[in-house]
Amino acid sequence: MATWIPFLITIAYMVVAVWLGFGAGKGRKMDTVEEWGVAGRSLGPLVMYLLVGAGGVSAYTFMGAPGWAHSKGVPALYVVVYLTFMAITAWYLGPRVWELGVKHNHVTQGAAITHRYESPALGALTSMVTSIGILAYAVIQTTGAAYILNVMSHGVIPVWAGVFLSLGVISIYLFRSGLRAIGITNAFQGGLMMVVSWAVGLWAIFQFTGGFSFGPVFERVRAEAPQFLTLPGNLGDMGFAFWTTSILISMVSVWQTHWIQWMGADSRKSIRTAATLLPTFYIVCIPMLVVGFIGIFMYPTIANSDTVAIQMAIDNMPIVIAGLLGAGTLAAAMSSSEPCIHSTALSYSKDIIQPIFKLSDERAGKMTRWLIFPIMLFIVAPISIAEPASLVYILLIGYGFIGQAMPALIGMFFWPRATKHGALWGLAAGFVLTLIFSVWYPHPLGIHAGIWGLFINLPVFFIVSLLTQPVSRKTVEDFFPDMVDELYEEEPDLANPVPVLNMAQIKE
Amino acid sequence: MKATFKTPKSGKGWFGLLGLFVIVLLGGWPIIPLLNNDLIILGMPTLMAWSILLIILTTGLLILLNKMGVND
Repeated sequence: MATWIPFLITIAYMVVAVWLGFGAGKGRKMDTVEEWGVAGRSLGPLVMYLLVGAGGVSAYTFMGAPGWAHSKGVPALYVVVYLTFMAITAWYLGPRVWELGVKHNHVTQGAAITHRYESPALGALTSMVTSIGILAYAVIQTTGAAYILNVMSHGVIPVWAGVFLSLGVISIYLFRSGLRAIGITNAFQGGLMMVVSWAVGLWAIFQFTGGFSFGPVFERVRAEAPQFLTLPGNLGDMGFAFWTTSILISMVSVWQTHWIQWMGADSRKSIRTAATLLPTFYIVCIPMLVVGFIGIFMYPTIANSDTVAIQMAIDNMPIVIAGLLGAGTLAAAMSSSEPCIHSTALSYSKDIIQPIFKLSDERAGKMTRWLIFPIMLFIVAPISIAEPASLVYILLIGYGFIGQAMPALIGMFFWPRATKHGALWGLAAGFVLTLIFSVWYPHPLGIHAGIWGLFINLPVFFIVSLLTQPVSRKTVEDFFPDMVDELYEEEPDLANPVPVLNMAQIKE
Repeated sequence: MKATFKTPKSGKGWFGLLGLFVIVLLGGWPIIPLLNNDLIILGMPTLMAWSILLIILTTGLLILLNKMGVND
């Protein structure tokens, strides 16, 4: 019976998540985009902090991060740095995005791009292509959730059943309560992750060293395997250039999920406050990284480094902590996949289906939440079960593409002269180069493919924009109201100067 | 139509932009190579201690900028 306690703890977590998520929408009418999609723009700073924080910390934290520490060493820390810097992006852009959304009734990134560039086609294209990366991310998280359920149930729940179980649980509260469910469950999941990360980390350290200090762990690493403590790491694949460019491309990639989460805030100030404190959430990664370093000595020959933390918990930790790790990892996976499914449903509805079929807002609002079922059933579930080898490629391309939307965002917030042709051709050029440098010639000179993409994307964006017709004055006024006078100031016509009359001529 | 960029309108705004730029530099090249050693600081590898310091510095800077009214 005792061997089933970790599994029961994991299942108990799912029951609590359903209860919290389902109750989050109580008394609310969820048939509108405003309510289901962005929680009636009602989320305060604490929920925003946990919503964005837990959404950023995926199953990667509990499986991938210790796995990287186990196989590579300190290169795994780039994740801590890029998550921290993504908070800067949220702090800078989040309030602006929210204000524009409230003013012009945007909900999705595609809607804002459609408005800014006066091009529904560009908005729909952005929605469609960014969803590739976002859905690939949801698939990876779902696979992680199914793996945890499989391990915790001692193989009784096969992977395919774990996929349907985790998606089924998410669908119950996501359909019922939309972003409110994501907010409340992420708050719960975020709190659980913090507790679990420190409990597992400190337990592992105590077991390994007899104390609670990190020091003896790293002293031993330094004595026996110092290559784990410096870049490029044990596998020699994380040089300074790749470290820096991986952080930069992640920092400038504004995900659809982030955009929609910002829209759910109750004020500019709530986003700013949440983003200000957001880096502190990512301390949660540190204990799990230490677990990975301990694994270097406890499991030197483990076949898959990603399983080192869970293996250590099952083999050595009290059943309650092992169960908590199962629940925490599942929480991390679900808290990251549910915003992806939610934002894709919202974006497909508002940016693609509504404009094509010319649906009313009411009709689109009623349809939106039903879209989570086909997305789960026909995209996320089958790909998660199939686990195609090319998934990593899809994800890499997806990441690269999301980063390529950065110039379009520059045009939205910083450069009124940007045009739809500039954004489109820049995006296309950047996407192709990112694709080539992700799949066929990975990261030349140790520079991330997404940054190579921006090297071509940005010049094309600027040059083509300058050569094509700017958007209307009305749109410029919507996005840059404080710059209109300066932008449309009359320039002196040097070819046909206005004649200056002298007093004698005036008298004549 | 002019091709002007939107830039900060005050000294505070420029200070904020510069501060954020410096923080990002601290997390990558050229600073990271200077810290790439196997010393143990406060029980952690140098890069781990530096990552935690970056979390503190970033939060601190954003708090300061909020108090200054940057990005209001």
